Amino acid sequence: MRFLWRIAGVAYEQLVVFRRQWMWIAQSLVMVVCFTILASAWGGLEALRHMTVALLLASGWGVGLNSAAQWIGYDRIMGEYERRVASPLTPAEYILGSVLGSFIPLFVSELPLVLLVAAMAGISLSGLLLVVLLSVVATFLGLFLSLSVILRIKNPMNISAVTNPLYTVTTLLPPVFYSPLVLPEPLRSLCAAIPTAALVDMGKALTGHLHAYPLWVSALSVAAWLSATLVLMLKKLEWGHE
Amino acid sequence: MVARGLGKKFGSVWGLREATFELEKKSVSVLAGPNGAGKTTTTRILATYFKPDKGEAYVCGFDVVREYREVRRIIAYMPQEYRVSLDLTPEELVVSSLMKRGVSYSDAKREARRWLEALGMWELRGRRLWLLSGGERRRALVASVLAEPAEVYFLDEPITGIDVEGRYEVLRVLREVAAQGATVFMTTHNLSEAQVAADTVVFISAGVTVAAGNPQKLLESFPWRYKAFVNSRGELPGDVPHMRLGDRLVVYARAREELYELLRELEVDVHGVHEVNLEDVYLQMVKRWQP
Repeated sequence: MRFLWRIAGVAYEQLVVFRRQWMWIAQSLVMVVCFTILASAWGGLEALRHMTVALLLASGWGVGLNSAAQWIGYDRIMGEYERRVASPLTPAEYILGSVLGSFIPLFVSELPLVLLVAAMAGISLSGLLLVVLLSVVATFLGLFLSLSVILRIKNPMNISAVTNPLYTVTTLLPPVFYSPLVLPEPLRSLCAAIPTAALVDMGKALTGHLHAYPLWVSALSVAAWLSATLVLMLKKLEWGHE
Repeated sequence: MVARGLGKKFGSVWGLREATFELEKKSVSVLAGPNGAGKTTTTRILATYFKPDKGEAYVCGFDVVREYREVRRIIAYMPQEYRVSLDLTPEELVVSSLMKRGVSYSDAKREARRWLEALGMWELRGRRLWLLSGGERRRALVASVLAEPAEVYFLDEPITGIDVEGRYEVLRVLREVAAQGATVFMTTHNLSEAQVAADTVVFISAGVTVAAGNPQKLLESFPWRYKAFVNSRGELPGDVPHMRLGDRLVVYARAREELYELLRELEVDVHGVHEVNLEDVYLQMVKRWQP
């Protein structure tokens, strides 16, 4: 039980701060509304279906890449990380708590709204459940990638100056909110190697919608990214002299 | 707590060269030294954050390198310049600190009250940290560390930035923590408080421990007992032990009568006569300054 309280303790601190800085949560909700309007206006229900999957996965990705990673980065600057090393808290509990602390306010709060949009778009509940689970994978993948980068910055004065552009580059540039099918070859195939593009295409395959790559190709790409970024992160995530 | 020949290298430079001391359980120990002397590095090694490049250290009998998991179970640590989100309240800060150690929410709430009251922060428990003064924030941080269930507390400059009453409030709580059976190890620049609160003082300079012991014993090892602050622009005779601070001088003597006699002979303006304190010992030992 004690390990659960330790994880909850890490998450609790973030949840309190997010409650006070509620504009972050408001921003997430407004994003869902805006993307729903945009997709419906330009492409009707078909676009809305694609957008819902993309939005869920991009949100999960953003929680890990931007929010949770930033929190850990600031913990290192402010001494909280150092303090926690000298305690029974393990690195796994710390990371899990940090992810939960961001995931609950930023992802779970927008979930009812996304589910409503998904129902309007005609996405099945089982398919949606799979996408939500895939969003958790996206969160961890985003976190691992972000930490692989920011833990290598010698003097991280402004971590968001790194994570925000990283989020934009990985979600708006590659085929995340648009289909890889509109891209010419070999660009279309090459995009399968981009983690966010692979995640969203996987999500579309799981919900039975039009997708660009065979499921195993996207899954392989995601698995490769997860393993590589996990190794890169662990090389720099020093928990004292452990 | 034992440190033997502890050293830590940063690149090609030894940040800590030879830290050696033994500290009693259930006591308050102070590690003092100038900036860059190796106080934080020593603390980080003992708190299992750094691995030493030479020497060995034990906390409650556990090797800080080989048995770091056991050490982490029994220590709590406040790093130097430690900060938290200012959107938290003192109560939330203490509650989250306790939960991070595996304490349930309801128990954490109860303990938070106890420690915030002990540090005179209970009335401010619901106010966000950004609305508090620097000293109040610091006391909230100290409360969050001391509330953690631990046998040894490492506090790196915990009283920096706190006003005089606040500092004594923290020192009182530290003494109480030690009286209840825990060991407190803190670093500070403030030696007058170390003299009041510490059972043992360790002086460190340029990465080497230069003295360790009971503050009273360290004072007795100092050759002079009294000092006078005087004003004089002229040079003093070479055999008069003194330290020059511009036009102000600190003149030392072995006995009060000897000092008064010396001052009469020197014909200087006297601004006060005092007993020597730990700062004088520190200056002699750490700065290699000889009156």
